[in-house]
Amino acid sequence: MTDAAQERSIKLLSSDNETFQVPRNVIRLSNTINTLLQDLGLDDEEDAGDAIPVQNVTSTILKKVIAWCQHHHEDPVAADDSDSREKRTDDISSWDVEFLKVDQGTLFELILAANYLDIKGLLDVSCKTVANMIKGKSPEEIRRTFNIKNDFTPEEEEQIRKENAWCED
Amino acid sequence: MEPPRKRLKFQEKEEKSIFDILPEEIRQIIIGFMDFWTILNFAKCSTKCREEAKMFGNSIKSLEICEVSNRNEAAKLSFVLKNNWKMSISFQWQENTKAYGHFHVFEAEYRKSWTKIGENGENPKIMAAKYLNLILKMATNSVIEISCRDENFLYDKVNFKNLKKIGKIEILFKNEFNFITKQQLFKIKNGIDIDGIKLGLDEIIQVKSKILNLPATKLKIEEVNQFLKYWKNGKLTKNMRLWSFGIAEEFGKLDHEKLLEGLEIERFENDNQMLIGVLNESIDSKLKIFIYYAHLSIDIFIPLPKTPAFFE
Repeated sequence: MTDAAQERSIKLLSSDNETFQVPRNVIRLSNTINTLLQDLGLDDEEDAGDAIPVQNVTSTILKKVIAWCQHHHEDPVAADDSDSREKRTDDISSWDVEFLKVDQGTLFELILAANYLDIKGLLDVSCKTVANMIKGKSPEEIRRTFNIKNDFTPEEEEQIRKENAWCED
Repeated sequence: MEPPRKRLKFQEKEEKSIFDILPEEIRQIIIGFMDFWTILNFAKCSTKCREEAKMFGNSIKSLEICEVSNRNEAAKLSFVLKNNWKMSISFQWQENTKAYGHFHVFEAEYRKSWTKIGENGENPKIMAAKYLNLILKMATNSVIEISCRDENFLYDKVNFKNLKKIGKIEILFKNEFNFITKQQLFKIKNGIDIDGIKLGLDEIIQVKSKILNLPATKLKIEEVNQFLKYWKNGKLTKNMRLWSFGIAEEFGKLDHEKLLEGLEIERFENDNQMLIGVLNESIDSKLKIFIYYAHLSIDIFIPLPKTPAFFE
């Protein structure tokens, strides 16, 4: 990417038709946007033209996604992962912890947006937050937190209770 | 009477579950960040949760049972899952009895840093075998290899003597004194110390284990030399998992020259160890052989290309 490309801005259009001007260097964290600009041959253009529609992401969520990218765009690029990716969930930065103190609906929408825009860092940290919400909870508490319907038959439930009696308080 | 419109909308939103909102691929990412304990509790929420947890395919990478010298932690069950969570569970029992008393402590550790990140309290009357059963219910392995160095401890104290299969999972115990068959040996993938089997060159090549330790008396030194040459020339495509090959010997009785004949090597002295390196050009990696003189044994380590930590 050239210096000029790093300095310029990209326009993003939310699903509810709000336009956001985002520095190219900030939105580089989105692989979806990067690929789109490269495929359309717009990455080195002075003016990328019309706003890029970001389907399924509302202005409220897009604003938060941009704020996250703004904070993290100078972070060192993490090495690619899969099996070796750290699976611990106690390493979320204090800034991200505060950033993700949102209601569950917003958190899920952020996850969906991060997935759609392919922003790995945001996807990881928001999924870790959900895993942390489950950690330490009993099955009943998990059901209540995530509105999961208990569809076990009474026989299955009794079997589970017997098998796991030792690990319940 | 129809409830107010606003209230109805709120209720509809609240009734959506994690399954309605997040797609499967994301739910699997979330499960990947859970430790075993959390996955277990999640799986108990509903049939769908159970399916999701199973779908994650958390195979057990290794499972070890060991005796702990501390009287209060008489046995320790450790396992590493696909998502790199390492868990260990310590058990204790009353003195002078073989029965287990209490499930003493639960800890989850992250494999890389070995940082202790959590602990649960006591749970009464859990037998190690029952806990193992529960672990295996969540695993997708077809074969589980369990390491335990002391046969008497395994059989008498842990009472695993007749455990050959749990559900569809075949159980293979690995310990120095266990009479393992050759067929079982070829199924083991993580590591094995064996004493009672003689192995020829054709059989060494069939071993899929990452670690293999054998006494010198069970091998022909010329065949080991041939094996090393095959490795050097990249002819062991079926056996690329092996990165540690140990040969126990009575000090001074193993002919090192014969063992390393025809192999280009570098030698390094490192404390009481001699490190010998061999370059394997065909796969652009270093084949290194470590010779340890401690404990009157010689260990030969053959790291694969993707185990740089071993020789850096």
